[in-house]
Amino acid sequence: MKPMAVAEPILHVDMDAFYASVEVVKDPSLRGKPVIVGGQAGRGVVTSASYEARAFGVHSAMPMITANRLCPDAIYLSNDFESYLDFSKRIRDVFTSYSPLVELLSLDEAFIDVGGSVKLFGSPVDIASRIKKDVAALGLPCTVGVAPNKYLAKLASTRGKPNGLLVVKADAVRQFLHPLPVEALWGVGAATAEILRRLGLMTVGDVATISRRTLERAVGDSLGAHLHGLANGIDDRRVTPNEPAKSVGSEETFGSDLDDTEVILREILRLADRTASRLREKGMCGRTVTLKVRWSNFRTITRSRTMPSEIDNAAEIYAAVRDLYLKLDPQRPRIRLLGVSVSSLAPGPPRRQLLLHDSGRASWNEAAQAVDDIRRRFGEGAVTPATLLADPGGERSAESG
Amino acid sequence: MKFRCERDDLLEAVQFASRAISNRATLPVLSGLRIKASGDGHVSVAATDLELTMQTAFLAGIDEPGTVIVPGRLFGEMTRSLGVGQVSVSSGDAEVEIGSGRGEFRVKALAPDDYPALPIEEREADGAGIEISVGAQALATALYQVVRSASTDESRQVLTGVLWELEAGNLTLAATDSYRLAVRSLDVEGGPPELKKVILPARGLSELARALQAGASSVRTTVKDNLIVFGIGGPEGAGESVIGSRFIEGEFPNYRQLIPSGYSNSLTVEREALLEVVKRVGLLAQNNMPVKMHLGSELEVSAHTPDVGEGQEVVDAEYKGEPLVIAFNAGFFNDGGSVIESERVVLEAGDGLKPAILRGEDDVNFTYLLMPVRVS
Repeated sequence: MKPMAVAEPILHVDMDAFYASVEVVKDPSLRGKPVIVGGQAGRGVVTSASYEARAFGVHSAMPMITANRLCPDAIYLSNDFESYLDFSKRIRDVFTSYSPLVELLSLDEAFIDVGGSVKLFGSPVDIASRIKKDVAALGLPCTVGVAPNKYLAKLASTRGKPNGLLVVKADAVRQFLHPLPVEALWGVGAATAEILRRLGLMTVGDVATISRRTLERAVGDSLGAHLHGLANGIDDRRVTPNEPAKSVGSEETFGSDLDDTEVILREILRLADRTASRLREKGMCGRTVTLKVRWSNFRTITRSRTMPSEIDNAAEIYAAVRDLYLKLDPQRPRIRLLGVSVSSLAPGPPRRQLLLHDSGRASWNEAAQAVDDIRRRFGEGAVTPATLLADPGGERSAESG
Repeated sequence: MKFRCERDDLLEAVQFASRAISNRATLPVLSGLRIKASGDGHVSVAATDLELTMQTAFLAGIDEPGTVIVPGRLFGEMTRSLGVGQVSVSSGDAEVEIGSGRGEFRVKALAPDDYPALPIEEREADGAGIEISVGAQALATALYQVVRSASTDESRQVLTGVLWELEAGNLTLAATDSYRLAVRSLDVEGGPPELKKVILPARGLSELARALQAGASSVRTTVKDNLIVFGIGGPEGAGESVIGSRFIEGEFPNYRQLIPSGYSNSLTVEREALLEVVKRVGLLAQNNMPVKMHLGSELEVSAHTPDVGEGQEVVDAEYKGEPLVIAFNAGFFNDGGSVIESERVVLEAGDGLKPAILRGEDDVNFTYLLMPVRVS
């Protein structure tokens, strides 16, 4: 028997100022005050600011020093990841009490497909308000977007912040979507936005009106098709419940085989850097580092090393995979694909077994945190290890797919 | 070559020497054992991987002196399978035969010409080196305290060894894998007038400790060129066993500067009680989670593994200093604690991020330095 189709089955729940809100739960006397969470050391950055602090212009990823200047009277607190993980688990329990189809994107954000839950709990909007209420009972505010698909649900929660509930009805998608600027299209960054603008396309509605062929010619086949779909409110991605991730990594196939050790190591560094960012994004760390190499003849090998304690930063991941690569000692490398991954995962920042004669490590971790914050704010390419800054014209032949 | 002996004597010698055979023998012939029957009534059995050499001897009835190279593992298994009693071993025509009254094995011997000269015999050819003499059990204990702190990571070879600092009347052993450092000093007889430092592979020293614990009475140590040789006198003096080890080349980290002094936080606690608690609570420190120690007028040890559970326990302690929380890898902690000989141990700490010192109360000869685990 086919269940009755629900027009807007997808919820996107996004916690409001999650870390700061958790701090308020821990210490209720902070309620209503500007609370700023983040690294308090010299070059620390804001990881979360309460809405009271945002009124002063403070936002996450801002250097702590700037926040200090904007809002000297705020309450400044260090990150307490143990508590954030704990609350993240509790909100996840709320979500899963309404539907088994919960896809966590990070500690404070999730998609929920409630299409199969309406008989039990009422309409998606009813479920959204119940979730808001249950989460509020934990002392935490959130915003829920309700829509026909993931893309629209996420847009809706972004628009509905803070402490909101915004529904995009299946028959009102166009009214909602078309006035938005092209940047609202998932996958459109500064560069693509510029291309679209040169074509005279300012809003999502403009993009929806031109033919798919024209779009594909302007921005490339796959991105063009993707944007065409989104602009018309189409997004077929399913909500896939998270398996506990077994590994986190990144790999890349190269347009032409790599044969220069210096270039190969640089690509390995890039992959290590991306892997580290993804690990930290998921609030994970891991102990086993794996290098995957596919030679030009398609033979594929993997080499792993298990570290004495968990790691989550690019420098340590790179040191291990570099070593693994050099141990292969290929005489005439011709590499088609490289992959770097980290497994034996554990939640949270690494419990770091410190080293005797340890000097540079602590600062690496602070640096890594700052890099993530800047990337979150300015995009993937904003900060990059110096050796990845290839000469103009670059030897790099393939972008990641 | 031909001799007769007790199976047990042969088996013991074969098992001892076989420990020097590497699983990753670089030359096929190095998987062999060299059996040498001398005119003076001794049979010596030796093996080497060119780094580590182990040799021992026993008394036998020699019918025909000579030397044969036998496949190590197979020969050992054949010897064991023969059962207790007298056995005879003989060689000829590139074969070696071993038999008891009722059955016999005949296997191909390895080419004797391919077998390298034993490093320990090269040494004997020329002049004297540095000699020291030390009580076998004292050295066994010292090795037991230090060797396990050596690194197993082959990428930094120097740290897979144990530093020997020899001087007149004193020997200091040190090993570190960068997470902990173990240092033990002990009195010796002899020794060079000037400090001599060598780094010895942990593998050979584990074998030495094991051989010493089997009941040796004395150990004679000679350092020469790039080799150290331990002559181990057996309880009955039947035949001396010899373990020779090449040095690891390289510079050992200056470990003395790593050992902090003047910590103001010092906890004294019963050793057995502490080890038991860390072991119990450590059950809930899975997936590489540390155990947390809350230092104060009593010691609270706790551990928490997400999705598994948590545990905590309190031990009586004497404490001087500020209340302090410090976390350790439970295994590393007990590695150090369990080799302390005093009944009470002293834990000294600066803060949660500085190396902690573990030592026996009133024992200045052994120091275990352990880096904490940083917890957020």
